[in-house]
Amino acid sequence: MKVPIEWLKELVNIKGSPDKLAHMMTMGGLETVVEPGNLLEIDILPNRSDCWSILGIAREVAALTKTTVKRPEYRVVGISKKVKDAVTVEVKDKKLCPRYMARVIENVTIEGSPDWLKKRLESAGVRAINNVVDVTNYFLLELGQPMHAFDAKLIKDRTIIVREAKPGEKITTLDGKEHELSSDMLMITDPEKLIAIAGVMGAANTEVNGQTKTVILESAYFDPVSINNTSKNIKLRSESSVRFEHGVGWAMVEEALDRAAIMIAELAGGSILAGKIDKKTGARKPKTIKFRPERVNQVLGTNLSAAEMQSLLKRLGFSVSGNKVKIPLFRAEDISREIDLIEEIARVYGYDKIEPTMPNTSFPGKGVDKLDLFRNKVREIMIGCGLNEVQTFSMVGPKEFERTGTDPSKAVKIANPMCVEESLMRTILLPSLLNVVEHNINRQVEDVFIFEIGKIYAYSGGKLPAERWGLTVTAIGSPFMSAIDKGKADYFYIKGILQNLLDVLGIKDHKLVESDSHLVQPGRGASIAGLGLIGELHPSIRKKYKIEKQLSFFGIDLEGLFKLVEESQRYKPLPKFPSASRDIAMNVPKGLENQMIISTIKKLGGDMVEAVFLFDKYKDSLAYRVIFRNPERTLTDDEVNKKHAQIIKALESKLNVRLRR
Amino acid sequence: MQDRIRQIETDAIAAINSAVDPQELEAARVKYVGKKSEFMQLLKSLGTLSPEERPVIGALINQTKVKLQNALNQKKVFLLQADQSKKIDADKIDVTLPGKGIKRGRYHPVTQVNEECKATFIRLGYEIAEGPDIELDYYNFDGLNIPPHHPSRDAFATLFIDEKVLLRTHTSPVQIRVMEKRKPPLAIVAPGRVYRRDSDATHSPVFQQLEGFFVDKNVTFGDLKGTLTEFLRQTFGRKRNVRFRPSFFPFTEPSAEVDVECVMCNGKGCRLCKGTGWLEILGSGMVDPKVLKAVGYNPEKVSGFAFGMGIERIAMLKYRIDNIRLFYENDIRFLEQF
Repeated sequence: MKVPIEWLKELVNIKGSPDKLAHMMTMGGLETVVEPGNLLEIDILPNRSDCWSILGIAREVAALTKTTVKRPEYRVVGISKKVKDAVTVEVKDKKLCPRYMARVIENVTIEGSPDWLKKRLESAGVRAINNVVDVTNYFLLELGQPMHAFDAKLIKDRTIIVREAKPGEKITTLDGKEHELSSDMLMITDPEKLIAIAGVMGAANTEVNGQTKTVILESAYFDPVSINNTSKNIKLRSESSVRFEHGVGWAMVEEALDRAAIMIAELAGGSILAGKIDKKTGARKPKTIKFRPERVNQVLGTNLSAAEMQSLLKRLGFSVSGNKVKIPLFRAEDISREIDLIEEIARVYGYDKIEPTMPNTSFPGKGVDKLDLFRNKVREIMIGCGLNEVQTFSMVGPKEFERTGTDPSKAVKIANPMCVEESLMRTILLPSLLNVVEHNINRQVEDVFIFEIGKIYAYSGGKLPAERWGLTVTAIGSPFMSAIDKGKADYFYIKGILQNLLDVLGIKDHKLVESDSHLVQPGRGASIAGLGLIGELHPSIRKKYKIEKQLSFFGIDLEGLFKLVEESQRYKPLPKFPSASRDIAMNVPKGLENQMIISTIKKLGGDMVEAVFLFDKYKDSLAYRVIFRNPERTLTDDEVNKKHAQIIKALESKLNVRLRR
Repeated sequence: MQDRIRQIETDAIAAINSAVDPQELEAARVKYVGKKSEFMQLLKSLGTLSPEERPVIGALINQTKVKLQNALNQKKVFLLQADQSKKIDADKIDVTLPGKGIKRGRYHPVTQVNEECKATFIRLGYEIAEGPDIELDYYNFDGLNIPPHHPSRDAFATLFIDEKVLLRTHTSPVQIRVMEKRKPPLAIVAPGRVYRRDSDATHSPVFQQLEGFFVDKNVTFGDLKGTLTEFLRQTFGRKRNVRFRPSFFPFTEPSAEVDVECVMCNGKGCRLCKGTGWLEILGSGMVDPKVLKAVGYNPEKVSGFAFGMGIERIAMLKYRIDNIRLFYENDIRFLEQF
């Protein structure tokens, strides 16, 4: 809200520079910056409906500077003709309109406002219109009470009816826009037409104009939630609706009406009819709240006396007797409990005066979160494998499901997405990473080695969709520091990363089984122990992301992987006796997998074989090295040779390989 | 005879001196002092000399032998050194050529800041808790004293799944979930993704928050100030001033916005802090009695403070990043700067 300092000064004494004032207000809960033109720009907290006026700001400044607000004396002088004989008001919806007041001013002459008023409005950023509308705006700004002036002649039967809109009804507001209404919106009407959207904006059909002679001035309290919804639904926010949706002052409804009537009569030369319409339901009386000084100190960590607390509350305009505080109506909206008073005490005392302390208890932390630690460990391993961590949005568009051929039927759908690209919660991480690859390649960054540890989401039949942590890695280009070193991110490259991950985590038993997933190029991908998928991306998917080079990836369910990690890692003693090694070279038939050959050799070798690995490969010719060891003693050549011979003999018959001797 | 010995010495020294590699030196050694050399023959023939001549010639031969041996050794060492330096010379490389091996990856900047913030609280004795991204509206709103249809819900620009289910707009629902299950004392930090229908240079529809709360007997607003001041000083530097000013959140009272002195101008006022000298970093406050009551605690017996911060905002201030979108575009050239 914009407040001209000069205007504010009429309501409260201000000492010091505007910057000093802004700082003090900010530290008191009204975030304020000084703008050119001696203007304060103030951010009003959502609970402080009482601050949506210059008067409200003045009250705050007065409380913070230990002074009081200057309030004018006024008296309405009416003529003998009665308002009741000039206008009838019927409030049909008392819930949405608990108070409706009106006055009538006759024989006005509509013309431009005097310069002082024009300047005043302009200083606050409001355009001057005429000597009636300007008066309502003046008090809207000063007292925070929006009012509306109707041309009485244009109101059928001089009867105002406050009711909800009928579905499909339409109204053209003062700004010339037509709005279609729904039945939850509160309307000001006459017997045959709509004349205003209550609290938001009046209609053009009854606005005050050059011919207007009699003005009906409306001042009301409309239900904040209703005004908020209406203004949101018709996408029309006005100075008026902003104030109604925060809740205006119950008592201010009347003061603003009276003062505006006086000023209109003064500026437009009219006469005020006797009396005022006041349709209200439920009397609002100031509430009294008790506070316990020891409780105040307990919550704040302060050591204030009861007398100090009382004087702090009095500065806010509260009447305090002992520990009982009577809350004025203008603060009824936000102060109803002891804790509210405690906040007020702290605020006026000054947050900066409260001593910082550390909690005086032993910390109850249950320690680390194991899954969180696990994720960090995985992250560290991936970084060590030369992968950059990425973070992508949790939602994707249907296009990503289409491009990767993923079934979107279990995907959680956002009802009001910002855009279609962010409308579905992802069910796998891969498309998000492919987007990153695409983004980088489009910017000539061609070596992209990345991973993401993130959640995936899917309907699972529970109260809430299932969320699971996953890891996905993609690699494309060369991983080397130097461009002299040639390398490509093929299946074996990414598999090396997977192996490092599983080895460092201490997961030994994991089987890769050739996979027929549509995501991988047939024959160049495998499923990882039922926990994930590894391989080279299918060329037809690659094409959809305009990726030309080979791209390899793996994705794994981190929660499943977490379960495989040995809870109690144990050290294995280092060998005391030397090992012996023998090589086996063979030609293998197509389709016989390395994994099978190794496990067969291990099985055949039994306890004596410590390790088997492939050390040479040319086409179908493979060479394995077998490491023999006995933990208790040094093996003799004879023993090793005998075992080796047994293995070779059995291999030929079991696996149909041809040994090369 | 003496002359002959001197002649051999002269010839041998010349041969040793002229040898250019170990092979030539060895040839000279064999020729002049080898077993079959003339010199050795002379030594063997000592016995044939007269008793008067014998000691004189014997001494001369020995002296010469020692001399030649020394010369040979010296030259051998010299040649070996020369040989090594030749090899070293041949092995010279361009030390400015690139190193070998794969490039090490980097932690995402948001992860780095998130982990640093978590670590600070863990050092202070807090534990980690997490909650779902897709949340019931009860935990996101009602349980936090934000009633249905209340205008204050508008401020959260929520992404909805259906009427009862939404993408959490803050990490505060974790407070409620933890308090429902456990009794005080509790000291928790809850990191996680949150979602809002909002997108510009400083707002992302997906961003990360760190929520924290401490509930126990006699927890005070002073404790809130002390804890958060300590956290901010560990994060932004010990000398940096911190200020607390009144604010409003439906789930805390009293509420406080926490500012640190601007990291760019150190409080003098600049573009980053819009001339105020301060940067808004945290929302915080004493847990509202209504929230405590809703989870079955007795607000007369326990109290607590809670706080929440945006991780990207801290990362942006720390690294002077001016657009939040950079975090989620994941340009490798951006990621490799951290």
